[in-house]
Amino acid sequence: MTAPFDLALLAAPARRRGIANDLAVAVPLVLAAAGLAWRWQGMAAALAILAFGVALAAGLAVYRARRFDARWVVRRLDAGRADMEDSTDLLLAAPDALGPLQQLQRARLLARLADETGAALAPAWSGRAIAAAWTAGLVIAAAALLWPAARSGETARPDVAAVPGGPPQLVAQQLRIVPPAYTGLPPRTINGLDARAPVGSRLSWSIEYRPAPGAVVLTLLNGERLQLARRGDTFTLTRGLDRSMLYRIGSGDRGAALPLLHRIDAIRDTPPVIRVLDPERTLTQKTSGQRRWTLNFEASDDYGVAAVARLRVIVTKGEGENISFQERTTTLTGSGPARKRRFSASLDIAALGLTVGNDLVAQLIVTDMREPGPQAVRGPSLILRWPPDQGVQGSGLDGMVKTVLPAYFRSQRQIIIDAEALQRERRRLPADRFSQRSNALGVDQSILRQRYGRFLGDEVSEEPSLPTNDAPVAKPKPAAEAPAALPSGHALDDGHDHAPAKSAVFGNASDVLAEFGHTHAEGDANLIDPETRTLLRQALDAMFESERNLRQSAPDQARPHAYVALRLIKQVQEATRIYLARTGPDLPPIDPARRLTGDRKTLGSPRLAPPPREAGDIDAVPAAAWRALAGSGDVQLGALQRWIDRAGGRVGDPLALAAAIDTVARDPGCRACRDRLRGLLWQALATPPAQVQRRATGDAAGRRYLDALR
Amino acid sequence: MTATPPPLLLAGLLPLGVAIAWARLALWQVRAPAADRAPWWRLALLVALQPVAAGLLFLTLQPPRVPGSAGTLVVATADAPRLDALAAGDALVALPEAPALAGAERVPDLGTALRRYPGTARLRVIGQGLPPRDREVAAGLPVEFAPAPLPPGLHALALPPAVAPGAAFRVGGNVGGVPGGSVELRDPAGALVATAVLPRSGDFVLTGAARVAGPADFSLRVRDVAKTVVETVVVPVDATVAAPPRVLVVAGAAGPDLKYLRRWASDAGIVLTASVAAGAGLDIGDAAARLDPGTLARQDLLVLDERSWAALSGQQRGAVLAAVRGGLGVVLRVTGPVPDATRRQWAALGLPLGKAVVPVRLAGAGETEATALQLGPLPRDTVTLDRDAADAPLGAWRASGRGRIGLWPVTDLYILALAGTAERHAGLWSHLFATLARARAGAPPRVIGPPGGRLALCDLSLPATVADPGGATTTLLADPAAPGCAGYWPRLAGWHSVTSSGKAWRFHIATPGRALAAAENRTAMLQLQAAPQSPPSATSNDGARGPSWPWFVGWLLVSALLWWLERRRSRRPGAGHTPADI
Repeated sequence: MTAPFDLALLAAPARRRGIANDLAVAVPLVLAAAGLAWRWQGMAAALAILAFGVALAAGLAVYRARRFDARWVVRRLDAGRADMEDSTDLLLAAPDALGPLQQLQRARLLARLADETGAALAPAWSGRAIAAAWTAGLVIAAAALLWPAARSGETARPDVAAVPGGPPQLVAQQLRIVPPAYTGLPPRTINGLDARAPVGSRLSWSIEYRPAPGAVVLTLLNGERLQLARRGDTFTLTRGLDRSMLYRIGSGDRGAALPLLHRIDAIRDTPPVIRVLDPERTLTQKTSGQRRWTLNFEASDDYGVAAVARLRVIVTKGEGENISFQERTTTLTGSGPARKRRFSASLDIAALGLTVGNDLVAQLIVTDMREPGPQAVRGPSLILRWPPDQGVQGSGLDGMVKTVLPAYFRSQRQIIIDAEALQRERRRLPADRFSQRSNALGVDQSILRQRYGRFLGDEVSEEPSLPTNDAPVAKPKPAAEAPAALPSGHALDDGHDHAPAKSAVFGNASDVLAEFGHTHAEGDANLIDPETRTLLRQALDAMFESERNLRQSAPDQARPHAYVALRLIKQVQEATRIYLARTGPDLPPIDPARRLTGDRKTLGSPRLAPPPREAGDIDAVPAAAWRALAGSGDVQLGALQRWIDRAGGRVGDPLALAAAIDTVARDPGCRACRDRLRGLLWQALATPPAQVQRRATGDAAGRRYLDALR
Repeated sequence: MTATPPPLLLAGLLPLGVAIAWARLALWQVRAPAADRAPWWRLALLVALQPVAAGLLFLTLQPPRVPGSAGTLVVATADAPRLDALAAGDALVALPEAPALAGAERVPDLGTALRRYPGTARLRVIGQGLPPRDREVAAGLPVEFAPAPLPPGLHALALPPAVAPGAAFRVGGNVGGVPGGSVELRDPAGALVATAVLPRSGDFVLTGAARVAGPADFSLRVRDVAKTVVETVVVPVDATVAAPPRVLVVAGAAGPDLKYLRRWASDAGIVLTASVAAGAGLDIGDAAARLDPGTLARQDLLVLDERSWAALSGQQRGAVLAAVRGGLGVVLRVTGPVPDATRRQWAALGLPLGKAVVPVRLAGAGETEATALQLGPLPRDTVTLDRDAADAPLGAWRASGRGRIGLWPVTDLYILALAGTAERHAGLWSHLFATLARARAGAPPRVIGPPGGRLALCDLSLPATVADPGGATTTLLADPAAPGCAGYWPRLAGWHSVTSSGKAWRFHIATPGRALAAAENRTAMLQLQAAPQSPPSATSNDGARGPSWPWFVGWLLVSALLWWLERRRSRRPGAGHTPADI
């Protein structure tokens, strides 16, 4: 019988009431805190605050409820019930330790407490605190949820100032963009008025005003005005997009503030791009045994390449200057997706009629699907070349001299062939005809001999020479200028320097030789080494013999000499290279006596001053605007806009400039807008030719110092 | 301690009190029975402690001056490091820019601090230095400056003076604390104009070009190794149109260089008269030049070459040199081999020529190579006209009286125009002409002052007004202390225009970067430190008094000891003889 009566049981209602009281006060405050957290930091923070707050409040409430213990019950009973007779604490004491009287009193008390549940002991609801907490919590939570966002919500609102009962207010705006069907792009609807869309799109504006104004006008920056059709409170307009534009939408009233500029960028359709996959090079040589020529192309486009392309095939016929072309066109069907199609063809070389030494040219022409007016693009010309026979161009065209010599080698051979042919025809030909042809062959042989003779320093005789482009132009010379005495066999232009002997230095061996004789060891001749010279000399001798016999109408006797000449010349060909000297033009010496002797009256009148550039400063308008924008004064924005319209391609992005001008016009005091316009102007301005800054004179002391300097 | 009695009264009262105490002691000693008389040591102590107590009382009431306040005042400024230990007796005050420092007394400015510590004989400034407002106050005192490390960023910036439209300008400076960084110059549209990787020294020079006349805000960005922007400062460039110089060109022969020079001059609006000799008295220029004093006085610049120089008569040469002393500018162009006589004459002018013909690569002209005649050893009073890409001097000029004579040894500058760098060709001639042409009156007013502080606008004829970027105008008042100057406090950053007697000029006020401001502060502080100081006046009399409580405690202890000694004596009579009394 240690605890016959549990006083703590009587405290239970009070404990519950206390916890409920505390929670009723704490919960609204926690909720308010969570609301604030949700507004500032988001849902996660709100939930965290809520969980933490509730846990804290519960913990506090339970802790605070511990004050309702047995002693508290004793105090309450003593204070509240007269029949306890201030002796309730007997109930706390162990019964064994009590005296008889005390035990009696205790029993009486227990009897009186039999029907006591403790409910009456519980503290009352703390109504004022709860009401205050809930009020505060609700106010804070409502403020957190309903307080307007600082700025972020405002951009989503239409840009017309909302004045209640004042001008119409833009409540909804929609722009529907329907790209052309060929692009394959889906139609889209945006809530703004700025967009980028392909050229040819249909743009449908749908604007709602409240209260509805009389008219809504879409004004393009160039002044064009389009009236929007009214349907209820909604105004609509549909228009095709052909170029980028800046526009504004408003009621069109003169007095109303200008609405913001909006920008729609038109995206141009780009032409297709052809890539040749096969062959790797533009020029392909036909391999022996090749029967077909395979071509592979890839054509890409931003929206799609037409499935059918044309292949233009050209075959050349003939050789030399007599070449004809044969053109035919076939169609190819592409494979793969529309934006990146592949075209391939396999051409039958024989069926196209390609022959040796001729070319087969193929070119792909693709179109995209633009409507109207598909854009056609031609690919590179691919050439298949059937190489000409190797034998025809057999001689090695290596050195400079070999471009000249082979013609003469062939000529010597040709002389032999012709001579042999003439000999064979001798019996059929009349004698005079035979001797005429033989003589002609002799002339050919003579020309050939003289050409080779040049390499040895031989002089050109009165025989005709081949016309060459380096031969001196024959000019009629005044008789007075012709030198009186030239050695016989010498002409003024025979390649030797017949300079006046005045320039000679006494004792110089070459000058002496030049004065009294003349050397032949110059020009082309000294470019050949001695052995070759010997061989060439022998060849020339043989040619001379051949020529002599040909001229005497004896081609058969000329034949062995001609063969000897051919053999020797072939040896010369094999012997070495021949290098030709580089020589500059020989200008005539200046005659100082004739200088400045003519009439100089008209000289000097054509002034050498540079012609002036176009009059006026084309950048005057933007330069003035540039300066005006630096301050806070008025700017001639109208003139600037006209300058942009005139400037054409000089301005990189005229629409951006126009938009910046509009921004400044709407808000002349906006520093950032002015700076942005200045930046765009700076890009549009050309750097003028550098002018000259002038130095300052300095003050009086500085001038005195300079005057004192030596 | 407002009720402190005057020290003189105290000094009178306290000895009186001591004397009374002694008299009292003596009376007690005499009147007491012999057995009760205090032993001699106690009596001595009692006698001796009286004046000690009085002295301590005096010091309690009149505590002596603070020992440190008559010495060094430590002033903490921005970025002041936390001091571990102050020198004994040093007082530490913190200006508003300083960080929180333990034990520092916050003062609104240095003047307040000096009023609080009137005996301050010297200042020890720690941190970034005194701001401009406090420097004047500190000017009379010896200043010891312990600078804190400068913050990373732009430490020096040399802004271009007014440039001509289209002409090039250069921005130089120094960046510290950004190893491996780079600087870039951007035009008003934000496009990159020039960039440079910072060397170890941090020095850089960037070149840009002005466009139309008017103010332009370029910007200079400092980036670190990771290309993140460390600092961005405004580079104000004011392109102003000056009256074009009147130029007379006397050429010994026509040539491409002359042709392109005339092309540029015509485009730039320069009044250029050319006289081009074609030999035998034939002139194919605008008009044959007459080099007499009257003609030369009307010209701002005379361009000669070695052939036209050689063709000058001695009288004409004298007229040219006299005109130069009067302010004319002369350019001596080299177009070909220079005769020895001309070389000697030019060397006598201080512009010697060398023999070698060298290819030069001009800065900003890419790979294009021009040809130049080397300069001889230049006298010390010549100035380099320009520098080539390898930073070697190119051309030189020398002042002669009020005018200048320049030697331009590049023979084929026109190839710059042909190689697609016509703007560089024009820029070089513009620079040459601007350097050498006759000076012109009407210089802009000088703007002197720290950024953000009071500006002095000098060389200005009053009345004048200043319009700030916000459009507000201020009428300037003459500064009686500085003739020809007026003070102005800028309130806004940006372009200001000053108007005086019908003319207008612009000047720019920038908010300096933190590092730049700190660097300028440091320079000013070092100048302040180096400036000669007047010896500190001995004004320790009116210093603040120190705390009195230590003296009070001492007085209390002494008084307690006295009391104990007297109580012991007074208790003695009833207590018979104790061994302790012996």
